Amino acid sequence: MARPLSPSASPSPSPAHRPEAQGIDDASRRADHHVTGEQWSRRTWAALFLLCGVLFLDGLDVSMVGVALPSIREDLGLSTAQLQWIVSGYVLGYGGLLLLGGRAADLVGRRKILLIGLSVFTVASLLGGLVSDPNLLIATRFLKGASAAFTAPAGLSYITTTFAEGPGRNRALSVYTAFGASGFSSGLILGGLLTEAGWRFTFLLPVPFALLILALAPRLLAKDAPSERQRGAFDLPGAVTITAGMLLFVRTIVRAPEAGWTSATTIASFSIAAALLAAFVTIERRTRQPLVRLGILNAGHIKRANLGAMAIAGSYFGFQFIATLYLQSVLGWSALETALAFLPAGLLVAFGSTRVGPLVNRVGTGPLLIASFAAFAAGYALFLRADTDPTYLTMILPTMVLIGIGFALGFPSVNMQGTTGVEDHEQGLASGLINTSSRSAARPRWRS
Amino acid sequence: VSAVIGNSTASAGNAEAFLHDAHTAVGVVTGIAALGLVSALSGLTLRRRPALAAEPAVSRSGL
Repeated sequence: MARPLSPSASPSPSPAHRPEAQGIDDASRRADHHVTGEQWSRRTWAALFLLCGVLFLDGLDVSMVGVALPSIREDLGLSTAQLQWIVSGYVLGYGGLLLLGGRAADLVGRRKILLIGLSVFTVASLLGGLVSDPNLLIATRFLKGASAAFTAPAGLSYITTTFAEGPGRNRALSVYTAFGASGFSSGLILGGLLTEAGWRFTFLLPVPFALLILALAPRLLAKDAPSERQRGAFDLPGAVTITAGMLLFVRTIVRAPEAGWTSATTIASFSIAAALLAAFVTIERRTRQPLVRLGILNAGHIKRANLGAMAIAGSYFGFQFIATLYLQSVLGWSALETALAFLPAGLLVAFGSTRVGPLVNRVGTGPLLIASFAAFAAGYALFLRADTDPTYLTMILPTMVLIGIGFALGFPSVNMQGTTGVEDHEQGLASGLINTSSRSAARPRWRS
Repeated sequence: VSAVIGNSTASAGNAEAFLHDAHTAVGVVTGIAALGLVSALSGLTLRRRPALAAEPAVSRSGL
């Protein structure tokens, strides 16, 4: 029986010295345990799809619950503030713990973190579908966000430490990111359909799929190899300050629209969060075994990848917020009709992202990011013509197509660029950074 | 980003008012995409290398 797909724990050779010989996954795995080439066995594909499935569920969950919010409020009699916390609870858990989650994958083990995180996600989904107490529901949303903060970087770094840098990894990341974007797009439509039957189904739907992944993962994903970390050298002060600082920072952003951006509470909270994050930076500079090696951001391409991720997510999710309000409030479209309006973009992302790997092999990520942002800018600029009587074919559809092209080219590219040239023992950190850049710029909002 | 857009659209009471604020907000996201374009262009200008494989590996030493 072939070995399960395993991530490498050894340092990667520099790209310049890495042979990219064609091979067949397990047979072609070299001494450093990386999978090389683009011809993979069924087991490798199965393991990749399993990791994709985790990201798909994450994207699906975020968008499905967003669509179900009005139904949840009506059924449970929630106040607007409580309803906002259904969204914000997730954001708080995710944004607050993402950097820690990424580093935990490096230090504790990627498979272990992935399985623990997915188990928590499954339990929280089940509870969310059963409870009727608003506070418990918000607590399950926080748990789901926290679990995603661990599974997202663990899954991404599992791939980047399994597939050797080059065509194979580019292909794997293309498929992986396509699943994430598809999950989000599918969730918009599934959320609309399931909400017709009852909002609880939007919480319960991921449960059987998560259980299936949990059952298959031990067979398909190898146990974590011993890492390079020095035992007993865990940076506890760093972990405490970054977690407290990020949680407070995200909480302040979540509450600021309600409390007022210039209110004393908001300013005090931002100040304390800034002090905690400054303390974290000081600790990381001085400790011998930092939780987050800040020097990782010295690499220009990683810095640009994180800036790119912020620009893509920040502009896209901001646009989605405006477009949803426009379509529903101004044009009077239903939630399902609105989701269908976004479908062309979703389809382009789902099918286009998988073609990005070969393109990156030919021209690199730079030109693709330029094309991506040009498409985004053109699509958004087109939407400036929005009025009370738009033409779907000449205004809304071209906008969605351009945005779909931008996302399909840009999202895989920033993930590839943000994890390139990083040694295996820091891939979790790099994955956590790129996820943090995306999500910190894209805090989802709900408006009553 | 969502804070700017949220503030911009929060006061919307009717379609015309919303559209006015929405145009401002779309202008903001267009500007963000343009900044992303500038960042990507700067990377290409600095590197002038066709493939990512030529990017330097991250140094492990020092901060």
